[in-house]
This record gives sequence, C-alpha cells and structure tokens, in this order.
Amino acid sequence: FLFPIKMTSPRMIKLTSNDDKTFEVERDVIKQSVTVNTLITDLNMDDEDVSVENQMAIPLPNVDAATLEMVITWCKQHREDPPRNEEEEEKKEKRTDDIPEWDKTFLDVEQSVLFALILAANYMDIKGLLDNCCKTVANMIKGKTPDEIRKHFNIKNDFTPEEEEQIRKENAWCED
Amino acid sequence: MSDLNPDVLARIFLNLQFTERVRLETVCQLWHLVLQSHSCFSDMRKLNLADFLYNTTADYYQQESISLTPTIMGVVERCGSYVHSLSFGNRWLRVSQNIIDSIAINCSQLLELDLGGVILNADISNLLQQVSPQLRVLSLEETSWVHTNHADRMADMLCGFTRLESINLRSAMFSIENIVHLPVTLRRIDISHAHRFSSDAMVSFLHDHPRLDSLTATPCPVMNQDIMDALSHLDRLLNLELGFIDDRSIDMSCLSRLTGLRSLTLQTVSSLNETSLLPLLSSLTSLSTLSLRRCDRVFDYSSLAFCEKITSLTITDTMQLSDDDLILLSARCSLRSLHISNCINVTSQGLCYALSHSQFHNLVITHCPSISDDVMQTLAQTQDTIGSISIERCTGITTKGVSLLAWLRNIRILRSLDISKNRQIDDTAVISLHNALTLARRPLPCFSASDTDCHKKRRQREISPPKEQSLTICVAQTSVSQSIDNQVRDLIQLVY
Repeated sequence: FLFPIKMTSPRMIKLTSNDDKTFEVERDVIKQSVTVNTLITDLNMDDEDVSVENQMAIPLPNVDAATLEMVITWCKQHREDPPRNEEEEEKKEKRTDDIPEWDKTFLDVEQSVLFALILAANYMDIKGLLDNCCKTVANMIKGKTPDEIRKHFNIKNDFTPEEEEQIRKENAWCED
Repeated sequence: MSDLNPDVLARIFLNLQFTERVRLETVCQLWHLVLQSHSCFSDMRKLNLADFLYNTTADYYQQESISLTPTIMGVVERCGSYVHSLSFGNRWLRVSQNIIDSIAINCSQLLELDLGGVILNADISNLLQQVSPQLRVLSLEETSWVHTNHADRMADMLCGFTRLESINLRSAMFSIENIVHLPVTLRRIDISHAHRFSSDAMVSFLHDHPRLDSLTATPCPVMNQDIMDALSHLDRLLNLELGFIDDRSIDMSCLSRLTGLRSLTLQTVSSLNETSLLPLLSSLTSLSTLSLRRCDRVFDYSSLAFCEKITSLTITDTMQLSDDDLILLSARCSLRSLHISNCINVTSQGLCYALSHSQFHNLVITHCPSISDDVMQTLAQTQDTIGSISIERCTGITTKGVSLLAWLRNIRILRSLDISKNRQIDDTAVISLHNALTLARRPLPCFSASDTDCHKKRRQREISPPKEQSLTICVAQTSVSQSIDNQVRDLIQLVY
C-alpha cells in the first residue's frame, strides 16, 4: 500500500517595491539576499505558521517593481549556486571575463536598468548579482580613454582645464 | 552613472587593473574623489613594484634620473595602507631615499618586506624602525648599498624586531653579529656569505633560537666544532644548507641527531667523509631532499642505501658515486628529481635501473661521459610525468638517442630540454621531437551529436583554456643548425 505523502508547498515570502507592487517569492530563492534573509530571521518569520495571505510583506523602499522583478528572476536562476566563500573570493585573482553566459545575456540591458539593478543588489546585499553587474560595467570602462568613457556613460567633465591638466601631470607615470 | 553611489563605484573600479583605475581619475570630480578617498585599492595586499615598470632593461633603471620615483610613489600613495607584502621584484632597481620614505609614510601595515636584489641609495633605518614591531619576513638578499654608512646602520636595526619569522641576509655588507638579538619567533634564516661574524656569536645565536626550522649558510661565514654541535641541537630543523667548509677536522656525524630534517644540502664541504656520511644517512630517516655537491672527501656513497624517503637527489663532482649506489637507493626510494653531474663512474646501467623504478618530474644528467643512448631509450619507455630533462655535455648520447624522446608517452608535459655542449646532436633530433609534438597536439576526435550538450557545458566551465606552452630546447654548442628554427618555431623554442 502507499503511504500518504504530505505535500508541503514551499514557504513563500512577500516583498513590496517602492511603487507598492507586491511579489511572492520562495523563501529558498530570496535567501540569497542577505538583507531580506536577515530580516526574516530577525523577525522570526520562519517559525510563524501563517498563510501567505496573512503574512506581513517586507517593504523594499529603495527598489522599484521592474527592478525587483529582475532581481527575483536572477535569484531564481541562481538558487542552486554553491554558497560563496568571501575569503576565497578575496584571494582569487580579479577577472572580468568569467561572467556566466546566462548573466551576460540577462545583463545586456540599458545602462539605467543596469545601474538600478546594481543599486538594488547593493541594497539587498546579493553579492553574486552585484559582482556580475560591476564586472559588466568594468568591461564597458576597460580600454576606453577618459573622453570615450564620458561619452559612453554621459558623464559631464566638471574639471576646469587647469585642474584636469594638473591631475594628468601628476598621473603621467601611468600613461604608457 | 550619476545615480551610482561611491561604494558601488569603488566596487566597479576594483575590477580594473591598477593603472586603469588611476587613469579614471580625470573622468570627473566624483570619480576622482572616489578613487582618491575610497577603498578602491583595498585589493592590493601584495605589491611587487617591478610590475609597474614597463621598460624592462636592467641598465635603464640603474640610472637614478629616470621616472622610477614618480611611478612608485604614485602606486604606494594609493594602495600603501593596504599592502602587507612589498617587493621590488629582485630586478636590481636603484632605489632612492624618496621611495623608501614614501614607503615608510604609507605602508603602515607591512608584514613582509623584500629588498632583495635592489641597489639601495637610501638609509632604511627609519622605515625599519616603523615596521619592525610587526614585520614577519625581511629579505636583504644580495642587497647592495651605495653608501656603506647606510649599510652599517643595519647592524643595529637587527635588534628591533619582535615577531620576525624569516630573514634573508645573504651577502650582507654589514656586521650581522646582532642576529643574536633576533626574536625567538625566528624560523628561517639565510646568512650565506655574510661578512664580519664571530664564531661565538654564531654559537649563541643557535642556542638562543631553538625554533629554527631552516638555516642556510652557503658559503658558511664561520664554522667550527662548537657551531656544528650547537647546530645538532636544533631539533626542529627541517632544512639545512651548508657550504664551503674546508676544515677537515670538524666531525659532522653529530648532525645525525637532527632526525626531523627533510632537506639537507652540503656543497664543497671537506668536513664530510664517508665515516660521517654513514651515521647521517642511517639516522636522518625523514630526509626527502639530499644534495651533496663537490664533497671531495667522501670516498664511498654506499650509505645511500639507508635512505628510504628521498624524492630528490643531487650528487655532483665525484668519481666515487657508482652504479651500485644508485641502484640500491632507487630500489628503496621513489625519486621525483635526480641531478647527477660530473660523475664519471655513473653509467647507463645505474641510470636505466633508476628510471625503471621511479616516475621523474625532473632529470638532470650532465657532464657524465659514460652514459649512452640506452638511457634515452629507457627514459622514453618508462617516464610519464617528466617535465624537464638536461643531458648537457653527455657526449656519449647521440642524435639518435635524443630522437627516441619522441616516444615519451606524455611529451606535451615536457617543458625544457637541454642538449647543449654535444656536437653529436643535430637537426634530426629536433625534427623528431617537433613531429611528436605536432601529433600530440592534434585535437581529439569530434564528439558525437549526443555529446554536444555535455561538451558545451564543459566548455562553459573552462572559461579560459590553459595556454599551450612551448617546449624550450637549449642547443648551444651542438650541431643543430640555425635554419631549423623557422621550421619548428610553432611548438619549440630553440636557444642557441
């Protein structure tokens, strides 16, 4: 005969963006955000036996709905990632050519979207996402002159010509 | 971009090369500010200043007028406070007082300082005074001083350390008498070729530093029986290198007390004879590296048969080493590295036996006229892991023997081959090896369609495949012609 199998649906967590949209996401997926994970643990939300409907939503006042949706998509994709060892990461040689293919495609978005994602990843403390975003931006900077960088990122040169010349003189040693 | 806060900007910049980061300072005020004040250089724990010098010719940097100073100061000002380990890369850079002062001001967290292979035109006592309480590793290996009075100040500086674990004073130009005052934390010291050193100071140094695990003194600045006895009481010693001791009356057998010793190197030591070698080799059972160079008072090497754990053996310049000694040793030990040089009585028989009993990484058989092509054949048939071979001046080996190396099972692992000083070797050998490498580097047969997924996954994991390194063959003073270079250049680098 068959044993009755108790079906437990995965525990869900509610998140609210700064434009008041609420997302439901699996507990196991959102644990990659250190900020959210700490909140859940500190508020003892894991112990409560309340249904999702009655649960308090975690407000994320620095993240808008579109960005939050992307963050959740990224976290879902990376839920199986092995936990990061920060000490090991420190020791490893820094390189920017090791962004996984999926992330490369995922992060191939407009600059404003990418920057919003960086700020969200920084605020929510999702190291993997933050790292890959930063590497993506670093790759845009690489090999460009200061002028090309300003154009690419639409940055205004707010130095006076004298100031710029002064810095350039001081740093002449690193121009090859 | 203006939305990004300084923390995030710093994180982005940390992904770039050091000089790339510095160049970004002219982009805008915010970036300049972030790069100057935030932890944009916090990853620079280890700093080799030679990495920042683009012009690599040595004499260029020995003129003090050139732009070495601004570069080093620019680097040190930015990342100095994060640096734990600083080196000049042993490139004989001429280092001025400005540079040393800048390091003293900025590098407050130094734990390791390598001033080896540097021409110092500076007084470093100020710098050392600042870092000596915390410093763990100091190297002044072969450091040369423009002014002797700067060097002389070092003598007193030896008293100021409290946590030093390793010090290299090879060829020190100043008195090292004060090593007696080095802290008891000291583990490793090199005092080779030091001047002005009394035997009493050496004895008290050895007495006061029972935790030493490595001592190098080749040439040994001072030696007598008292020192030898004091040495034999360093029961934590793992590595001992002594050289150029010509007092035959010293009895070295007391060193057999050092039963923990892993590595022993004796070079031109006339105190060593077969009577003292026997107790040494029968007692030092942990020994894995043994090197006896030009020990001309040893008339019998049969005590090698006592060794059990030796993986690396070097014996040079003796007529007394015989095939039997090698055979008895190889029967008990798994050798990884063997260096036999100028040993006229070692023949193919002894070497072939050694080759068929061990898998070598490294084989150096030089100036041994009695070995022949048989050794090359056995080598090719038995060795799977060999990365470096030298048969320099082995005139019994012909081009046919070297060609046989083409049959090495893993010829791709082979990185260097020295066949120099042997007119018997010509182009045929090089071409055979080139052919073998060409065959070995051919890609594997294609995967079937069902494998493609797994293949793709694998490729994703190997983001950057290891670079194919070429084989370097040293062919100086052989019959290998210059014209062959073009033909083999893709896989073999020839050094004439």
